[in-house]
Amino acid sequence: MHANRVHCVDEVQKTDEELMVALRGGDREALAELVRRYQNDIFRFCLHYLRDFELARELAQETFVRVYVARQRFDETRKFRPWVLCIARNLSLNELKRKKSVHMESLEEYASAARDDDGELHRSSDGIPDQELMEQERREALARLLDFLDGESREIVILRFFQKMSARDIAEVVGSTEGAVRTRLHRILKSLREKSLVVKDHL
Amino acid sequence: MRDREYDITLDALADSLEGKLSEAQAAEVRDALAASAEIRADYLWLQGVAHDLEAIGAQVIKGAPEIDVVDAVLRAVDRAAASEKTVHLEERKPARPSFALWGAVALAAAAVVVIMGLVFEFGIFGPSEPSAPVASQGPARPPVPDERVAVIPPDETPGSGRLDDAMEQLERELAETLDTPSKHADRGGFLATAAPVLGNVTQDDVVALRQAAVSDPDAWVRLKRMATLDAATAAEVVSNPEVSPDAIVGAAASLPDEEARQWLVTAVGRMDQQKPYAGLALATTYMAQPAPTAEQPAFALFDGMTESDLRAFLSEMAALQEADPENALLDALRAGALLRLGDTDGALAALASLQGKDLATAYGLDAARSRQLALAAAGMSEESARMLSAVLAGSDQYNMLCDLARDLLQSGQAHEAQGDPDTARQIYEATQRLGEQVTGNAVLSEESLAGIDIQRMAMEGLEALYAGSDLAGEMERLTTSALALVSQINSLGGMLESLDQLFLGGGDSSFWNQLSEQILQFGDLSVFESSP
Repeated sequence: MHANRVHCVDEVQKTDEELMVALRGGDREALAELVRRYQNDIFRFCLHYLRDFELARELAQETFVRVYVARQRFDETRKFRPWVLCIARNLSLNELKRKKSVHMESLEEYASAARDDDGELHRSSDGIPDQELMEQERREALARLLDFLDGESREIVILRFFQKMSARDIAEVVGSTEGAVRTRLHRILKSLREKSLVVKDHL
Repeated sequence: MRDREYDITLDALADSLEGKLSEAQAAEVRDALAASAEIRADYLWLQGVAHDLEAIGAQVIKGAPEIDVVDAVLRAVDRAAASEKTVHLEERKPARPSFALWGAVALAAAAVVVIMGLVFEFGIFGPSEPSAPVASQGPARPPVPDERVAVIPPDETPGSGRLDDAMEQLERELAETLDTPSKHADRGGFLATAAPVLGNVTQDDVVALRQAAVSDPDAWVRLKRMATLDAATAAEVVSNPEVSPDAIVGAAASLPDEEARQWLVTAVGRMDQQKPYAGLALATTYMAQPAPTAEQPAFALFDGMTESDLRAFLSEMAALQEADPENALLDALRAGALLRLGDTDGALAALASLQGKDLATAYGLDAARSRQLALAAAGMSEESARMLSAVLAGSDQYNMLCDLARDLLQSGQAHEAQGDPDTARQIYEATQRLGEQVTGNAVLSEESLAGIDIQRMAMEGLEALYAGSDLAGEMERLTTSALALVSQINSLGGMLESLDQLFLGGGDSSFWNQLSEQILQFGDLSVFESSP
């Protein structure tokens, strides 16, 4: 039924930042357009932290409520996406903290996991061609290396490679500077390379 | 040598992944790759790792459905909007003359422009990096499929987790807003510091202290000390037949209770018209007002009062309510005293009366003006007295309001502990309403802050009351209120910061005179209304 929703053409043509300005002025449709643009982006972003469809969906929804609540303090000269991701990140970290699971799930689980139709995680290699199996094993080995990283470094990896965000945007999301993020990313890659030489057979 | 080249390839890879490898960098990478098989191997490894990492990331979201929360979000914000009774301070200021009335219009307007720029630059959410150009950063919106995968039932009802989260955010935002040297940190100890010679206090002294107070809590202590008469000086002021009744009210605050009461009765009798703030000052002389200690940094308003004091206080309240029947604060004060006397039914009736009203005020501006007159009558220059009273306006009222809320909520907790959650709930809800009324009527930032703090305290009581219960609707309402309060705190935080910047921006005597007059006439929340 949502496919039939009539979207305001003006809103669709506006930039994110223009929509935020309109939202500050009381334009409810501006928020609706921002939700349409980013809801699945935010949902997947939260999913990387939470690994739970329902929670990620709830937090995606909550993120936009927070966008509304904080609309007056959005600086339209800055980009909307890092700002909204920052809100989603804080909500996700709060949720993890609330669940007393500050450390994210093992990335090894990440590498080997697949989801069935119900969204449940399961592990299987049945029926996978050899080449794919080798790739999967290589990725599992890589994920094991990632598990040696501290939480902040793993978050950088998630944002940089899983979310494909630039160092500048990551800096805005985690409240750091572009230079600091780049330095950390550099160290992470260097560390992974050194560790990979130790477990060369796996990679 | 190898390390340097190795760093080159790593950096280059990072940049190439972002698609922003410069020509020079690309050339450097090409040279490095051509020169070393080892670097080529490293580079290939890094490319492979980047690819694998992206594949790992893609795997976790594999099978994730498309979601559509547009309607749910809009319903949630509609509820939030409905509860934002007093959302933005900028939208709530009273009608008042604009900056056009100010003599030094150019100076003031320039200051406002600079300040508003600073607010945007250094706002709570405003990072300090150079601004990025405005452009569309949004991804192209994917086409809306005819049928979305709806594996998750739409349920936007906040559960206890959402309420916890909202309350946590509320605490955090309030802590950030208050993360500046507080006017309330030293409520009695400042009297131990040496009093200045009032006649020697200059406007520049006051401004300098106000500027220092942006980062130095001791500056607030010195400002308060500067603005507090010693008992002997206060006695001289009240006994001077030339001083106005309002100056007597201001000076009486520094007299012993009995003496203050007599002079306040005299002052009220001499007033041409009823001034409720004087009646409230009279009523508060019955309060014991113990000084906070390290062991007990905060106390409840009626702590230490005897039964006869409470009854005398209620008598004054009755007279005051005749003069100002629409002020819900008086209902709250009455309820607090009645609860202390064990008259729960009477207290609940007073709180029910409170619920039906729109406004609550502790008369902060009237009290600030009476302090100005008292200081001037005690020998301080007119401009110093005005400046000093303006910068401290509302701070005493903040303490009184929060102490009252604490008193009410403690009574609620006592009823809760006695197995009477219904009475507790009525008290908590009325206290929350009081906070809304105070914020809604605030013209001073201190009053607004008090209203917000009262709401926050009451919400904590309600949250604890709802914990473990099955009151989903109530928790949802509370969550919405908490989020609306976060919005108010954000607005107030920006306002407080811009006020600090206003003082830090400097100005000449004319500017300070006009600013202090503006604050004492209309409150500090409206000083940035600059439209002519």
